[in-house]
Amino acid sequence: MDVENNRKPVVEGGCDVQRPILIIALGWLAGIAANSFYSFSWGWSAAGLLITGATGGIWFYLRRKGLFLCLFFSSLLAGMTQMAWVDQRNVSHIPTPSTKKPVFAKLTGEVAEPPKVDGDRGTLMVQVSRLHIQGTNKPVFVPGERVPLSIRLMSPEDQERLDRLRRGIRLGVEAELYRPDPARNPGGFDDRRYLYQLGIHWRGTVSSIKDISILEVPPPSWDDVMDVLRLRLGSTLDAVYPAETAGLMRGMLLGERWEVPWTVEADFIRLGLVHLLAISGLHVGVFAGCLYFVLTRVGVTREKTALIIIFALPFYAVLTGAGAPVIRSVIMASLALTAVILRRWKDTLSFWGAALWGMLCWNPYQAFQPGFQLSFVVTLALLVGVGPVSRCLPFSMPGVNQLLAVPLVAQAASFPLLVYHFHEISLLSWFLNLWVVPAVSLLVIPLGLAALGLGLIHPALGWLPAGISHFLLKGILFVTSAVGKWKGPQLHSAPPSLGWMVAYGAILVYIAVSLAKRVPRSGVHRWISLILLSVWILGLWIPFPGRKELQITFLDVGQGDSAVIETPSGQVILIDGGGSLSFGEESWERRRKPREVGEDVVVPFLKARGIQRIDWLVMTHGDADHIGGLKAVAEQLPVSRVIRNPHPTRTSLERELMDRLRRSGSTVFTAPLGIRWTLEPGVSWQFLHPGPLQHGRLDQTNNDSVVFLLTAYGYRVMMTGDIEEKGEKTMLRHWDLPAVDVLKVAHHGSATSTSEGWLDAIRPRMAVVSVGRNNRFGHPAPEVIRRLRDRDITVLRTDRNGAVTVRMQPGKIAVESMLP
Amino acid sequence: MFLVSELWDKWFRSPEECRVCGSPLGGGVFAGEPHRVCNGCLERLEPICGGICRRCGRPMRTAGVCRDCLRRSRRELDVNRACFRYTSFTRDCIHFLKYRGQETLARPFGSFLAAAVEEWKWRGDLVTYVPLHPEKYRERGFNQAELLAREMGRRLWIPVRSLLIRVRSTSPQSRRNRSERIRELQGSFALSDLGKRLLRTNRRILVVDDVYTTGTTLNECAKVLKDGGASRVDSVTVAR
Repeated sequence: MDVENNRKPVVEGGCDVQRPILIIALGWLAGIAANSFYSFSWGWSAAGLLITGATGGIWFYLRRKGLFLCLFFSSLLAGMTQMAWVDQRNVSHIPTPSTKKPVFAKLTGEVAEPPKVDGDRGTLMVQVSRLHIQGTNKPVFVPGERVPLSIRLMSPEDQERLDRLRRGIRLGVEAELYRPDPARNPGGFDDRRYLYQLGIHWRGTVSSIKDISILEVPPPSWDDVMDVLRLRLGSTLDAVYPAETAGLMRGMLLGERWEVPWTVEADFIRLGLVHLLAISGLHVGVFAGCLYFVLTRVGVTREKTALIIIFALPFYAVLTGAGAPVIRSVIMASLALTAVILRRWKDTLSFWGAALWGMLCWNPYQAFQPGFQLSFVVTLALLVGVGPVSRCLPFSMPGVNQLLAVPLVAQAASFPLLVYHFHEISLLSWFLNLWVVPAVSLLVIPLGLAALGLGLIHPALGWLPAGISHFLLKGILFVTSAVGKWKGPQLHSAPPSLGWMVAYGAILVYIAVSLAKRVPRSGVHRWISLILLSVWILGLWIPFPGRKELQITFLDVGQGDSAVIETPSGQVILIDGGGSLSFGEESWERRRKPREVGEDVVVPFLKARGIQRIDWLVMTHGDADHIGGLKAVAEQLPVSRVIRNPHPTRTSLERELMDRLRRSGSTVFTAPLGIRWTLEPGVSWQFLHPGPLQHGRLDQTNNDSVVFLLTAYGYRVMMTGDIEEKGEKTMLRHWDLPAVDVLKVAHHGSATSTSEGWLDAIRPRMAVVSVGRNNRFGHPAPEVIRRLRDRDITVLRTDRNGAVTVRMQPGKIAVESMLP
Repeated sequence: MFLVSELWDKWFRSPEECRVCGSPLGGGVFAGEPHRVCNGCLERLEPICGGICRRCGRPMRTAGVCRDCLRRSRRELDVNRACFRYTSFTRDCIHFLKYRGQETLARPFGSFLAAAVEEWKWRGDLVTYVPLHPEKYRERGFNQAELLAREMGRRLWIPVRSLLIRVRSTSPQSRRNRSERIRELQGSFALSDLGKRLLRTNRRILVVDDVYTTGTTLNECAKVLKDGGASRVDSVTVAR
């Protein structure tokens, strides 16, 4: 007689789907992600979609339930289908005799984007419609494939000539086409993948602007109007603002990131403030907010104001370069304004879903771009998390709590993505964001917009708002440049695994649930979840215990030397840092971000390996191609000890570097000859050259390169610097050398090193040549390669194989390279 | 325009409404159930805070035991706790839940009960509720105490079981005085089959009801449960 017990109480929700758009968008995203793991042809996915959709539809029709799952899985399969379809069609139409070698071709096509001039290099995106490959008889027609061209500029006149090109102009270009590079170093930038996702498969270099000829100039179009307007706005900002902050304002208001000085951008990246430089949802919000405020004040009705803003927003988006965050926030803001017009409630979560879905449908590759990911993840976290978090903060004013909660939630949500993509995080980031973001969004940007608007009428009018915002920006820059130099709060980390990130997301959801008091004993759960989160984050930096593996990475630094040894207990030895010979440049030639091996290769590698400090820095000798890149290393990481040869410093480069190292507290030694020195159980090293007194001529330091033999678990590695035959002979006289497993070939494979006698004495199994592609010295010398081949030694070259990694474990040695 | 609005409502969700007064809430997407009642209503419900009677949960100026509890000699119910004062507004809310069949009110009130129990740090084995006579149940279609108990149990992760049945129909309590109530109610509850099976010794049980006025009903339930073998019987109510 248990009548009451059989009856379930009424529970709302149940089967009806409350936010269908959100579910579809998330399913779609999951489908795109799934396709990159398990890729089927689009036909299979489409068949799956039909079956799932039909089954789910019938089930829902009959049983009135399961709509949620049906929607989710149908859109998942739809996402997979779309991704597979887009992937299949994303191929180059340029026929290639060989993909390895560059191709010379005459291209005909239209300018697709306004050219950019950066010092002695210009870039130009051309939509190629016809090309004639050298050595073939017939030109080939291509259905509009975009090819970015890099043009060598010889003079300021060349810069002006390039600047005059605008969208739509038909060009004939003689260019050398080559495939973009995949990542050549671990943690390096994968240009091939990046461009592939933009539908680009070739790059071109043009040796002189004379190789570009204008075929046809079309009448101006709408795109040109935008370009001209952007130029006009840019020059207005240049006129209104002092040179110090003009570039920064152009970046912040118009999205011209390339106008922002590189030093400022580097500091902002390090401190986690870089989202301020990219036009983001914040900017769109401020823009729309200012417009709304002004229009409603003037006396326009709310509905009309909303309508005006809806039409103004796409214009603003196109003007600022239509980045992913801008489009996202324009879609969301337009939906919210439509709600105002229709007098409906705003459902921001569904708006978020609508933006996600729409943008993925437009271009699914966007899902892999850091800007897109960060924008959507942070927005979602703010929508969901700020309420519960701010309610738990202890201050009596809700406004203060919210102000604190916003950066807290944004940091927590962006953390895994930042670590994954940039391998670096600043402990000061939260604190800086706390006051820089309100200062920029509430003061600098509105004032900048006012200065821009007034400046369009006459530059003098914009003086006051420009003056105030300039003053504020200078303050911010003063702090960021001072704080950006500190090494302490910068944490580096290897990119976390996908599983780690998924679990991190789950922990965040757990925290949100316990903060919203949706579980019993939420107080206990709150503590558990916070402890779990900190343990999980700390887990990134705590090494896996008991793993015995020593890893040596010979980096591809172009023409130069750089190798990193990481011992099992986490000690780091850096041997040289590459470097390019720099020439005196005139001011017009200077690039925004000069190419610098230390900054571009060595430091990113160290960060991507989660290396926090250098325990031993071995400077084999003072040539620029060995120590040039160490400046960047010394700036960004602490160096405990430096080992160098006994030569006095020779160049100003070397002097500056040594000064910087000494000032930041490194101890400098000369190589301690002969002592066999245990670094940790199983790993030891022994310096073989040079002795403290035996150095030769002061301007010829190659022969006094520091040479050492590293022994790990019975395997031996010979590191040679730039030692030449004379030095090799000296060593052979002094030491009875054992057979080695890996030899770093001296002096990039020059014919004056690696003599027969040397090879016969140390009998390496494997040789690594650290050398640049197409270097002007002709390294490595063919006879050296022949000497190695004759002895059946495996040769790995950084110019062909990219970075080479050697891993040593007790009883096992393994080699891998970035490129096959 | 009308069509667009219609479509809009189909695809987008309107915000949560206050479960009591129906005004829209700004509370954000992830607000918990207690936040689904607007601040105005929450204020008018007058949550009990500060000094209460240790036994019956009546709000008092200082903590202690109230006069009614001191006077009562035979007391089977151990402790009662309540969420709100029994004001006219609270009474109206309970009437909506009870007679007008506004079952959605059970969710926020259930969660308020859960919060009260959590704050009280009650530890026990089972939750049950004051039953309705089957006839009345058929008439009303639901038992408000059961709805509250189920909602609360779901939030606290404590099992809710129907341990009691009403063997005699009684006329409404509210029109009688204290001694009449006691007489009327004697012997009107009994253990259900499930109750007989589940009640072994050392069970600690929490009884849920909507209002605690004199405590007679709950005391009667406690008596039956203790006779059946429960070691401790407490209760929680929406209003006191």
